[in-house]
Amino acid sequence: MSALRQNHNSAHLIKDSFRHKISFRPFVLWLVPIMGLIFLFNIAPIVASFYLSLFDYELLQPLKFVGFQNFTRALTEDAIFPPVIPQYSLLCFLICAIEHGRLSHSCTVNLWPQTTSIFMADTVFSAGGHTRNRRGYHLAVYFSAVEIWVSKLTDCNDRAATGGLDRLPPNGHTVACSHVHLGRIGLQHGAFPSRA
Amino acid sequence: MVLFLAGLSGIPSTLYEAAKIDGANEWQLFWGITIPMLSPTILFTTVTGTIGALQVFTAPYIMTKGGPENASRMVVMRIQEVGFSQFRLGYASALSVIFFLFILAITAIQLYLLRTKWKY
Repeated sequence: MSALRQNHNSAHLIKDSFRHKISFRPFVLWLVPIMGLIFLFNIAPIVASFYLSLFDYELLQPLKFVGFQNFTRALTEDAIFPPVIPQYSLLCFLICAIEHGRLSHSCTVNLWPQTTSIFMADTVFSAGGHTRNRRGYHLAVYFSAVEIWVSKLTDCNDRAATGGLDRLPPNGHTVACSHVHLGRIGLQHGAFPSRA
Repeated sequence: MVLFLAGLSGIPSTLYEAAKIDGANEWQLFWGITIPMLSPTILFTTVTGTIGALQVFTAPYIMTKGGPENASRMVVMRIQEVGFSQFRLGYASALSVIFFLFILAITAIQLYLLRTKWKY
């Protein structure tokens, strides 16, 4: 009897959960086309490329199953692919800093009044009231720190590209880095006063 | 930059005020509030920036075609060359799958390293 009651209760639970699911049906209906598009354009190509990678397939010839031979060749015999992977691994950890460094020049140059025409720096520093300005300052400090690091990594190239840092502003390395980046976008001459 | 600005505007000013009352200086405000509260934004920009940078194709293809001496040849260019110049589609697919797994691993590492252990 108790087992029957337990079954009855569990049936109620199942029915309740089913009702709960039914109440979400419109939401699911909205999701279906989106999920379909994601599957069609994202997941299906991944699966298809994995399937094709198991074959020796040269467009005008029939498929010939070779297993993981393509993978072995790609990782061991390919002239380009294996040497590139370690470099990419290193690059991945530098990309963040480099991108932040590029962003940061717009924040940093705003510390130098002659170059306030960079619109992003203006946006950061005029973002709102007192506290927001302070946050913008925090962001600029962070980006400056990142930029110094990046500039040290790329110091030689930058010096070569700008023809030397002979027109540095007086307040140190941070703005010097901005000077380097400004030189890249053509604002080098006259952007900063000479050190003398 | 827009993402960072959106993240900055989402930080409640009460946090700064409370920290100032507790005697925090600007440096402590920056490391204790601004950076932790921006960590989801930093994570997003890092992951999307890395993936975007690894998939660079157009600029080196137009400018150098991978030269000199393959110095500017990206993986995507190699895949395009094998697949659509040599028509070895199976091999190109294998390169694509390896590159996909590589990006997946890098993204997983970034998500692990930049994860936040707290909620606001």
